[in-house]
Amino acid sequence: MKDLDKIIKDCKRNRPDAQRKLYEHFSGKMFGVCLQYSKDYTEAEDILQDGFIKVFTKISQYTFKGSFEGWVRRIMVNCALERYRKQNLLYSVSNIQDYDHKLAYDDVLGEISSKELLGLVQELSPQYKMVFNLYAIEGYSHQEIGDMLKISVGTSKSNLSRARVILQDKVEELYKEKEQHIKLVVR
Amino acid sequence: MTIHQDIDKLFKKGLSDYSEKPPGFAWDNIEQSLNRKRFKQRRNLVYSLAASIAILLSFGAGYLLTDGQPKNQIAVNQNNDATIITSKKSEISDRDKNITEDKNTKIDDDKTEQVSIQPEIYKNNSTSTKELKENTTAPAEKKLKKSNVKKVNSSGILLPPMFASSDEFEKPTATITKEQTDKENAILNHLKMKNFDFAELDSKRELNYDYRQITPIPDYTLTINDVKNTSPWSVGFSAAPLVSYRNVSDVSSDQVSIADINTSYDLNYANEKPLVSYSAGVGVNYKVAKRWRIQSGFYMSELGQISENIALNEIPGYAATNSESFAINTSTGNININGTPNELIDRLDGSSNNTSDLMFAPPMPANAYDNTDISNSGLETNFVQTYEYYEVPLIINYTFLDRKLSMNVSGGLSANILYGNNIYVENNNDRYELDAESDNLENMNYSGILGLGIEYPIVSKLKFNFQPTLRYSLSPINSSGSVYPYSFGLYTGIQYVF
Repeated sequence: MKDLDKIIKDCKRNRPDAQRKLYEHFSGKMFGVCLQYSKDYTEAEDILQDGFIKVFTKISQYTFKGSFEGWVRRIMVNCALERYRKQNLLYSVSNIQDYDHKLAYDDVLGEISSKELLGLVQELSPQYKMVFNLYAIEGYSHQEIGDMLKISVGTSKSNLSRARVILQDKVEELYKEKEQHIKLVVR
Repeated sequence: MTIHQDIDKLFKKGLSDYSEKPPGFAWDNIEQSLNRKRFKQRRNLVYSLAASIAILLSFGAGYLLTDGQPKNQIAVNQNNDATIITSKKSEISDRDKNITEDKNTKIDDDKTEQVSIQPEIYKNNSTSTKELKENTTAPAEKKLKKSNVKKVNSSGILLPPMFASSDEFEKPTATITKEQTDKENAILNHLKMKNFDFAELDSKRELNYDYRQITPIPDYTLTINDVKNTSPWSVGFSAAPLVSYRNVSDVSSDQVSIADINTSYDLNYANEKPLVSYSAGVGVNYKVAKRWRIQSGFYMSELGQISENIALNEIPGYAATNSESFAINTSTGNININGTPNELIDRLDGSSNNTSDLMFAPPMPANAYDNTDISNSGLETNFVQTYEYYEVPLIINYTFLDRKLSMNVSGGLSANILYGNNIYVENNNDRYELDAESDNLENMNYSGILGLGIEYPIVSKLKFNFQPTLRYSLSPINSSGSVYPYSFGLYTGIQYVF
């Protein structure tokens, strides 16, 4: 996209109007990414802000090789990672907190299921969420995840399977509820 | 397909296109942060420019101060400048060479010459990070430029700093202990309290966004050392008693001499003596490096001289009665005094004197009285000339002894604006001001400054400083270009460090 290239070049020149345009173009999607890695809106907003500041200050490092969106996304994920590292004690698996089963579900079906899925991921405890996101969504290997989070490959694997089990249960529960709701409505 | 892969797929698909508009204040915060960075960059650029100019000027001034007579000096220094500058250059390259030899780095030869450095943190060699940590007394120019260099690598992908040292490869990837993370958190909280800018911290870590490279947790201790508790700014007030005098160069005098007197006396004004005066003002310091500061400020100083033994002569026929002013000749030119000598004498000795043929003159050789009807009335008095200046200095200060009692040396230039000129008659330790002014004074004057100082902290943010300083004029004070004042003062003051 030639327009995007021009905007990127202007951002490299530190032009405020180009920076604003870039933000408007990518902020929606990137906020989605940030939400994935957060437990609530506040955290997601922080990651988004830190992420975009990094994008603008490091834009000189982007050399038009590879997808720009991918580059921005990696910065967001890295910000989430940093925040996670700063905030969490990583040394003990048993220190994982219990989570609430409270589901906030909408009455409206269809497209909003993305939002529900997001909600389910957000509810995961930090370590599970991190491992699941990095493995299933971003595509890192267990070895890489272990290096990033300073855990062993085994811990990464066990966290991943636990996360999957939890998500599976929740998805099933959610669909069951929805099915029932549909039955009620249709009747 | 296993259940597990299904779940992964479900979420990946569901979340891949998810988009949600962030709140409006998010952009505002980002914009604010970017503006702050922009401002800081510009400000640092301006300061580094000012610092470079000040350094150049102070070196220039230093060379000019080597001799007593500025006029003669200029010719001499044109030769000296060349030799001094080249020796400075060889000093710099020697320093670089020392680093090359000592540390066995693979720096290219042409890079050795450059004083503006690529940040060493990005060189892929085994000792660069160690060098960075150990190098607490970095040469001044290097430190100055380093802090202002934008951290951009000119040549490709960066390696994170941790991987720049081969030591890091040998370390096992240990799990982080509780103590370490507690320590980390404590440091972070401490930094948060100081409103430390994490974005700036992060920029120092240089994360690489090729996702195949992993970024470990940064070494916060390295960064902590860079964070100083005190701001680089300090403000101070100081005052000094001065002894002010001047150099008179041999100039064929176009100076207005006393009318109608044929004198062959020497115009070297040996009767002029130094004046004890004062200087006081406000100074501002900005710390550019560990031991280097730039100083400026605003001072008010009084310089001048005393013309002693101005004698009153009686000269028949000298028509002083009707003139409303008379003149006394000094090295800077004439002092024009309103009134008549009669009036002045009346004031001086309290008697009324009707003689109209009176004239004040600097001491004349004995034979001057032989051939004329001039007679010395026996009345002598001192005339004091003072010149008041507003001074705006620009000084580089280097602390060569950095203890509780620190000592520093400073050099620089000052631009001085003449705002006042007073003439007094001094008789028996009494002074009274005359309605008079010195002729031919230049409004602007430039001087070089050289000082040696001591600083001692008093209470939390206050420091006491004592600084004997020599100020020497680089431009003449009078329009005929013969007089160059200088002063030596003992500046005492108090500084407040922000």
